[in-house]
Amino acid sequence: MTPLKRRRLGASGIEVSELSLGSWRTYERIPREMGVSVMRRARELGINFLDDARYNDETGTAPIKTGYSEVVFGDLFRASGWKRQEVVLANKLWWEFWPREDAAAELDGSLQRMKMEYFDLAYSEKPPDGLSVEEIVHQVGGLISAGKLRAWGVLNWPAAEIAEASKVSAELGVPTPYAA
Amino acid sequence: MIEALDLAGIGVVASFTLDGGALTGKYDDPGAQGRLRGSREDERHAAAFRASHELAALAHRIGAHAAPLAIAFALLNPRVASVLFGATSHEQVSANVEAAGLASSLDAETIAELKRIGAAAGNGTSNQPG
Repeated sequence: MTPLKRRRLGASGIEVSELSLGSWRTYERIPREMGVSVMRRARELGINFLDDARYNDETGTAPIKTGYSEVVFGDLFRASGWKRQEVVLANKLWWEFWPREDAAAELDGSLQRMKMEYFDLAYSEKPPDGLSVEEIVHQVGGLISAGKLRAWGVLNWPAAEIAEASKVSAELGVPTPYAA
Repeated sequence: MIEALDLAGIGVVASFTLDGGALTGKYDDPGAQGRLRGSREDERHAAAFRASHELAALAHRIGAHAAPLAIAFALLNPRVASVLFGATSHEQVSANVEAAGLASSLDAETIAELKRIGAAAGNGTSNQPG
């Protein structure tokens, strides 16, 4: 089998495998041993880019209503033999509980559920009503300065707002978004 | 969109490269099971279903399958840093890694045909972000 190549993630300097292993509506639905075998195979074949996406429980059996997918992801990750520094680990800022939870509170919740200290990348969902692009850049910049995040990206943003994020980031001295 | 991506130095992580399975061609079988069963008339997937026939024909011609070819297509775009996929078995992981290898082994004629199919489906010049 052809070895999996790495590519640069935009201008971030982070190198990721050409394939990224996702988790959306996956690991809660299959037996634990199958989840472990999926991650082990990915590791064996050179995948270093993992994507966690929090979703609400769909099985009706999870001990917590939201974010149990992250608990499961963290457990499988550790069981599959990966070391944290081997991978580029991405997650999302859904702004699910904005304005009750800001970016720091949302990301901290994810880190705690996954038992991780930092994410390499977090994609911000489109700005919810009442939240400006500038405020998102400011909050994300705080997370990068705090060492909880290495880089950020955008998810489902229109071109005009991506351009605005790029401009505002430069003005505020925050790294521009490097992934979409 | 391309201008905004390039300005910021953004790499695209391509998801939904099989359009939920529409590009695999499996839904040509009326008995096919899957998430898009019953969605043949859904306008959101119409372009992918149309493209799936040409993709399947091209795949047949080069001795491959449609799904790996769709993943390879995404990787032909230099703005794409990675293709995001989900798997519920280790066999699916292996199949997708093979698909990634296919991208670097395609000849110029096949690449041109893939790009033509992609352009006709409305995805020839950009990938959906996220």
